[in-house]
Amino acid sequence: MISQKLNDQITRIGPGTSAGEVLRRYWQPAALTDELTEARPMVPVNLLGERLVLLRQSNGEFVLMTREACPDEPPAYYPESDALEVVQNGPRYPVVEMKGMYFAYMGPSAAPAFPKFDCFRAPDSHVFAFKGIWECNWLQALEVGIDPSHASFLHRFLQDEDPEDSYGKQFRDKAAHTNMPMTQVLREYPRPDIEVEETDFGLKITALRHLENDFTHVRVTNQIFPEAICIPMSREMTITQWHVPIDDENCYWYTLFTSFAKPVDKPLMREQRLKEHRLPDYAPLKNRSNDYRFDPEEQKTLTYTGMGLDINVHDQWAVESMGQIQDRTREHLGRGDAAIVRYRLMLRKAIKAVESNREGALLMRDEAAATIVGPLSNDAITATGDWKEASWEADKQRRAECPWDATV
Amino acid sequence: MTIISDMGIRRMEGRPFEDILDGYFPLRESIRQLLQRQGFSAMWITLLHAPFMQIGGLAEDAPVPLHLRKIYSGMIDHMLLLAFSTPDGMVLAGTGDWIFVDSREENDLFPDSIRLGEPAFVRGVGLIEDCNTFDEENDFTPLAFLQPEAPSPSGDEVRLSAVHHLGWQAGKCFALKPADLGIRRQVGRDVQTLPFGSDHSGREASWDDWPLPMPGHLRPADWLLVNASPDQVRRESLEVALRL
Repeated sequence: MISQKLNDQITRIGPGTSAGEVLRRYWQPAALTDELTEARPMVPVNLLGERLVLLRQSNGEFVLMTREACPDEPPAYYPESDALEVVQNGPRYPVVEMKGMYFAYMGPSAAPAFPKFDCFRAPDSHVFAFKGIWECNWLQALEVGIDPSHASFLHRFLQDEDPEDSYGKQFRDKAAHTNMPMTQVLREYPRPDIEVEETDFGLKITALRHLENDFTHVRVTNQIFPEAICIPMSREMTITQWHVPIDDENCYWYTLFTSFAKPVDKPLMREQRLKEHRLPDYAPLKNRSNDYRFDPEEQKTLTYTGMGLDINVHDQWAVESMGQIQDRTREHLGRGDAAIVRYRLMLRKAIKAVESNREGALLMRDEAAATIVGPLSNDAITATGDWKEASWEADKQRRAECPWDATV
Repeated sequence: MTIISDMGIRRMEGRPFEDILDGYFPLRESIRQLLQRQGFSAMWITLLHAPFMQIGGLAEDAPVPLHLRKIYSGMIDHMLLLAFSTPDGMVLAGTGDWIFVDSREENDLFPDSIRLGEPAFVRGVGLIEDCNTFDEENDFTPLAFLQPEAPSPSGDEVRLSAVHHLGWQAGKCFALKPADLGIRRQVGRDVQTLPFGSDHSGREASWDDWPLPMPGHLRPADWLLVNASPDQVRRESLEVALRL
């Protein structure tokens, strides 16, 4: 329940806006490497309210440059390369290629170092990148991802699948080392205790679901400042997901799926996701225009939403249905929204730091950013009294068994 | 010169803590509930970047409406507050700075009937009921009040001397000063030195640049010391103490 002006302050991201100036001080996912090909040597990039083009320069380096654009272009407009016209005297933003994505830096002074997060340390064989459009503001897209309770409702499955058929899917694995499917844990224990801790990269968010016989399910997720999350997908993989503004009312999610043990089956994971998205703009096939293909029969028997098994669609419906920019003059947060409260505090601190020229107060902007490892992101089931230690041990064991250097 | 003697140390029961202050109630009521929920008789808290709203004509004990028609909103930039329970209820005192976004109101006294627009994260230190009758047989002292014998010692001198006297391995200390009632505007201070307001800037809160308001009903003391010994049994308190 904040005023429209205060909502604008934390949501709008165009050049010169409060939140936009914070986001511009961090590397932003701009495109997938799959997009830039011999057949398509220039890729349209619509990022932070600017209409840009990604291209490789004659020196081999990548760059984002401003392109000519009509004011009535669709937000995620994606013309062919030969229809793109570069504005030669416009800004040039540096771009680097990392793990299947191009990251761009659109801020002042020097770009910060990349942290040594698992998604950046893992070999290319163990990381898969994908993206998709959501027609809403980036902040509400992020905030659903840092609410640990939402999974028990929005992603509730009324029946459990065989976990052996879980590859590449979220919440379909067994919970930790037990035979209990994650879907059962989420369904039967919908009210977690939530602990939130500030870290050197953002927030560590722990959801504790107290099971029977003095056991506790511990799920650790993370907010990586300013607009990413890192969450467990299965015992094998984590998801690192950025919610990148196209403009104030649309965003892309960019995800790096990181595998700790075996190489990622990239063709299978891409095929799974292309069943739900169209090319070249990666717009979801289930969307507002077709009511997300809502099926009331499915809602009675299989899923809470009746919108299929892909949890991305559930999240997409939830955040898009709030309106293109959530009206926070009518919201009522509670203490269960602890992570959202802590995140907004971080964002407002960062806004204040930028506005008062205290760049040193921003997270991950100094050399120490390059030394940040992790983050811990897993599910564990343990005796209630030992949950913290058990979570660390589970993480330690997974890292010890990992074929690439995942030491922390 | 002796800075601290046994006579100048008063061991207290309590703990550093973090919590979420409820939104939508009058600020005074949210703080009263926090004090009660934590079981404290007194507490100091820091509040940062918290949006608030002032709804014209809404009674203090009325629920917040679902649809707001007329609202003046603003943002608390920072507040350092003391709340302590009394036989009649609760006393609130402190300093801070705030802005109204939608009006030109420039009152130097923050109306504590104003409601937070969202729940707010707070960090601070609380004293447990009956803290004046702390059990001295207990071999663990989480907090202490200190009255140095030397005139105007530095925070570092106080801390080193007091830690030695208390048998701690480490501690954090904060200067105290008599409190004026109400929340008064204080501008021009460096928020990076605000106690309990860690912002990853690499700077620790100053020992005495920003003194904590001191409840008048307690015996006078000049400094508050918080146990930050790494071997203490209260692990959660230690983790918070290190973030103060």
